[in-house]
Amino acid sequence: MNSYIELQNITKHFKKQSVLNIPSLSINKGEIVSIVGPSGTGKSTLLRILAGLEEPDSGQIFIENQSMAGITPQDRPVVYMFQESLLFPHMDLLENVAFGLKMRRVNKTKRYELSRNMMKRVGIEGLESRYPHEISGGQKQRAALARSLIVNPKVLLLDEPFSNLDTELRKETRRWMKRLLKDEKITVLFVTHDLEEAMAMGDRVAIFRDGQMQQFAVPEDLYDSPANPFVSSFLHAGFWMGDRFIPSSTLTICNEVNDTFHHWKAEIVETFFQDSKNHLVVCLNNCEHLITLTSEKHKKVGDQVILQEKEAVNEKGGKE
Amino acid sequence: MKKGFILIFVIALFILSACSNSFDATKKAETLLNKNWSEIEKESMNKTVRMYMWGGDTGINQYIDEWVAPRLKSDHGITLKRVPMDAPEFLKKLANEKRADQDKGNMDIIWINGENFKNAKENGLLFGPFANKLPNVNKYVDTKDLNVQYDFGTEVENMEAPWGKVQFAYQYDEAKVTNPPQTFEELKTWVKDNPGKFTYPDPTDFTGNAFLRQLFYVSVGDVKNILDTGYDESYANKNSTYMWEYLNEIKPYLWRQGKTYPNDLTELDRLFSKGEVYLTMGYNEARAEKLIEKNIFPRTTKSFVMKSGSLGNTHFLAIPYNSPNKAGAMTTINFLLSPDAQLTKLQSTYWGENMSLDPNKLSKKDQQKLKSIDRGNSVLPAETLKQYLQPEVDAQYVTWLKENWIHEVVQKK
Amino acid sequence: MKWYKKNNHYLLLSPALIFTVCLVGCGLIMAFLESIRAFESPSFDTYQELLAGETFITSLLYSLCIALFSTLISIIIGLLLVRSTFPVLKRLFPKLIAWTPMVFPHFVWGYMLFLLFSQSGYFSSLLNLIGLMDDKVNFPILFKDPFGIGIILTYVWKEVPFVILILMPVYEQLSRSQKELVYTLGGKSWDVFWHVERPYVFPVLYETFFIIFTFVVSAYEVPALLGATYPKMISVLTFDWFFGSDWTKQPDAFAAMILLTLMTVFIVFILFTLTKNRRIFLIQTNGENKEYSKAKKYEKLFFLLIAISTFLPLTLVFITSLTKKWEYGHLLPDFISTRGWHVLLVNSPQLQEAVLTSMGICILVLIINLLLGIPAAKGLAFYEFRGKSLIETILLTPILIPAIAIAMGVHLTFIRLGLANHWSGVALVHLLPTLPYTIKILRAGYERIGKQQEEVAISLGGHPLRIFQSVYLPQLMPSIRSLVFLVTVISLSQYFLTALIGGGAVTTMAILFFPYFKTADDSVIASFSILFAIIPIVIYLMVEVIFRLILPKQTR
Repeated sequence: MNSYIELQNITKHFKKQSVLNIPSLSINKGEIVSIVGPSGTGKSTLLRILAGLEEPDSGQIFIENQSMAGITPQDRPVVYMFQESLLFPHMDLLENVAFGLKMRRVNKTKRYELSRNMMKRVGIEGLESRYPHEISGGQKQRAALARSLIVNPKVLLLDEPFSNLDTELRKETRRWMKRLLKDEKITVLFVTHDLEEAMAMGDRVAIFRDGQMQQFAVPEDLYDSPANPFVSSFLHAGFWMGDRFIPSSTLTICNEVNDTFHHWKAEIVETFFQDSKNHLVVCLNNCEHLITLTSEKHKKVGDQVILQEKEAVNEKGGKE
Repeated sequence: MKKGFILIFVIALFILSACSNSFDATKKAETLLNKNWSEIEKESMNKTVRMYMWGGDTGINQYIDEWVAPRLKSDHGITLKRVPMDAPEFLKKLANEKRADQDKGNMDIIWINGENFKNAKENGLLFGPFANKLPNVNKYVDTKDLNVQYDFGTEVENMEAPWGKVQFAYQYDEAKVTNPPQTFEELKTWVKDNPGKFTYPDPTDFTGNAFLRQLFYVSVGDVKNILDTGYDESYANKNSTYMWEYLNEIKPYLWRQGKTYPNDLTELDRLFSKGEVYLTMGYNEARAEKLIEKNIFPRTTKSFVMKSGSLGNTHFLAIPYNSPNKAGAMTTINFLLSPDAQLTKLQSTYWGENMSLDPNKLSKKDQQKLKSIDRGNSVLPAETLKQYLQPEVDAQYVTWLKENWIHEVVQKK
Repeated sequence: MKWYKKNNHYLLLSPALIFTVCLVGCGLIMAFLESIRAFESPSFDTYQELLAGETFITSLLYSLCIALFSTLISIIIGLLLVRSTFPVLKRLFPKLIAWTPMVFPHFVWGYMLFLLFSQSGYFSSLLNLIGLMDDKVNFPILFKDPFGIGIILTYVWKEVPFVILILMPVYEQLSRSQKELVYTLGGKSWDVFWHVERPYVFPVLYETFFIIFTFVVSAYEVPALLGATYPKMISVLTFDWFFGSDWTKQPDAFAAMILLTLMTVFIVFILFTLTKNRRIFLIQTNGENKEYSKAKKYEKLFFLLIAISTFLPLTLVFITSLTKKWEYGHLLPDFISTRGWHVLLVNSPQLQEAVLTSMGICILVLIINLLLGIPAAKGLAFYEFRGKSLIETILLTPILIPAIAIAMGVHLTFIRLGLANHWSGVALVHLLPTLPYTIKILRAGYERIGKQQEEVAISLGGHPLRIFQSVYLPQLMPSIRSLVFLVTVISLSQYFLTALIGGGAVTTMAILFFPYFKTADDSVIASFSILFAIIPIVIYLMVEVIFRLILPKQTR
């Protein structure tokens, strides 16, 4: 076992319904893993089990080759960070950040010194004596991260930490957070339902559905070779023709029907302009699949288009 | 989760076993009563005696705390602790202790009479007979007196020792009532002439019941009729017509048209002190004195008794069966029955209540002291009181009156 | 180990549960056995007679009516006052003023209102003085009337502060944005109440309703002091049977209490089951979007009303305590004297002992209350499990059952355990009327804070005790403050339980001074009433100092 975190046969039931079932999962040291999937698919349960806040019905967890069975949440080298910042309302920020050290009975001078440093690193110096209700959402999240990092966890579990922030703040926060986490060489499990966030944060991404892990790979692999139709449709990555997967990156919009190759009729359902590119969301086969394409061509919502594989178009062009 | 319920089940079993009763009391041989008095007194040295008594009168409390306790301490080495508690409550406590077979309780003396004595005696809650062992009882109490031999029709049999005597009297404000009624018929006329200015306490109250009993005596003609035969419900039913009619007749003229009655004497006294009613009453011929002194009753308060008779009764001190210090209790009771203690009790500075001792048995000196005591302007002369004195009847009549009053008077529209 | 971990809530609840089940169970079993004359000739005749007789049914219905009216009126007034004066009430001093009536035992408050509103009371006297009324009999009869107006008045006056106490935290939690949402959607203030406040307020009101209701149905002192001769409230009736001279009436008393108990427990259980899911609303702890103080119309006026209704009786009782003579129709006393205080402070050699005993017992009761109540409250606040309604009902039973019903069984058990006639027994028995309130109040506190804070703290390496000390305890302080008040006041005013279990060996303030209530001596009663209220305040201050020492830094 070379991996840093190793999960084996983890299952969890709630009211006789399976909420989590992971035959195996291994994560390397220093890796940031994004866990993404629709809501209610057991992502948070997985984190809670890792943190020891809940017990799995069966299975084992190893961190650094050490079994976590019977180890209390307090003694695990794991810190859990919630959706809301959950700063303690009766403590000022310095006390909040120092909380974990206080629990470890670090003396006052020492823990305040460490906390001040940590606050500086997450960019909230000067707010030491403020109370949580006096600061902004982004600052709260930074403080919460500082509070989690101060105990030097080997593993950090982030449960949708940005969901209460607005879009710009979200992006900004996740960028510095990723940099910080990489600097600290912390192994991170990061739960989100936002695909973009998952791809941006994660070295590898795990996709969940109904408590089952569908695929666990680097983002490119997910897009290019999704394990099953769920993954592909979840990512808007492409669609399946029988056993063959057709990634959306290989598709293009063409003007006329060419009978030699496969072509599909599609309808445009959304267009948006982002990152200097025109994006089209199109649906195929009576909206069985949704895929996102970039295209130079300007189309309107409701337009009917025909899709073909790029190679096929190129081939044809080559012949001409 | 099932285990949670099993836990509860186990607890329930535990409770059942804790609550179950065992009635095997082993009676200890009573050697104390065979000892002579000096031995008893010696045994009670340096002990604590706990006396349970009604505590609602500051005068009585001061008599015990300030006069009795220090003298008991210096004369007999006994520490007397007064515990204020109502008789029904300490009897409930005692009955429970009896049920739990607790041989060592914490009450040494209890102050009771009437129905409470009857209940205590019948349920074996008392220690005795001890009264005939007390030198002061033998020396100063008229043991032939019916008021000492019987307590509300229950034979005393030396299970309690008489502590004091009181007589029922009515109080009125001379400034408002010039000619107080002398008989129940006159009272009826007076009530009709002064609507809303008279009422009597609910007969569940001690005083209210005593008021009813006196009317009941008039109703049956002569108190001898019920005194000799003991409790006879059918006789009472037959001969109570006059009483119920009388009460219903005056009802519309009572305070608040008789729609409600004071719950107890306290409320009646309060009404009297505020001038809402013009008459009050109570079982202690001298009770007005202290209330006048405290400015609760007007200075012009006087008292009267009805020509048809005025109830008198004796109240007693008894020792619970499980008193931890029976010798001390006996010594204390003996002290409380000494002429000195009794004469002090008579003075209105403390209590103002009549002695349980026979004045004729007192020494010359004490008799002179007795004569010199001024009981106050509101108290009737001893001769008048004695002239109209009537005995108490069987305690069961108390309950009978209480219950029937509800249907016969209150619930009648 | 595993069971323990999975069933943490049972572990948290069991101390309080075991205590309640033991004491109440024991008491109820004895009461039931007594009611069927189990030790003589067992039969259910007593029940049949009771249910067939007019007296019992009338007084039961009468009690239910009085309880219903008192409760509804208290809740409506309390709700209106909180809604209209909420921003003012949030501040410490106004809050204390509003809560002051809670410091007085019920019977003391009843007596104070009697001084004000009886036919020869102060208002009657005042009307006479200014010439509006020539005779006191023209003053409306408010006390000892067949409709129980005086009783209802007293309960309403006493319970409104309790309703305020319970509702304040809820209003502190209400979200401003939801209100604004309703306004932008075109809703009027009624819609705001119905759609924003109701979901949070009503679950709390249901609970408050049956706490007050069951208390009023079974309480003895106030109706005994202020009730009419007929009809009597059921509690007074059973009390008379229980303490009456006719000891054969005892089974009737027990049977009546068993019936009453069954009825209230049943009602409460149904209500709990029906409202169980609504509590979920309360578990929302987003500290943001709280409503900030925004001045409302008439809030000062309403607050003035609260202040007057608190201070008027207080002032009068204070003057009365110094009164020597006060003629009807005079504005102020004719003569003043300190006799009442003299009797209490100088002529009562046991006073010092009583004060110390009372305070000792109060503090002990408080500590045990916290020890049992904190885990139980946490268990109820943070866990959902089967049988929760049942456990909630059981934990509430001590205040649903008339004290005399269980007193006898408890006394017998305590004699066997050697706890009778001892202060420890008294302290234990005082838990009965206090623990349910403690659990209720702390539970609300826990629900307000939320469970996630604990998980964060655990994840950061905190162990349970440390987490409690540094995370929950500081945030529970407002709840603990209110229960310090409540518990000391209840414990102090326990007369009957103290008398029976303490057996006179334990002299508390109630034991020493309760008998004085049976005199017509107003100045003594008034002095005593004031003295009675001072003790909870002293204990409150002591607790405050202790907490200041334990908790180094405080935000509130």
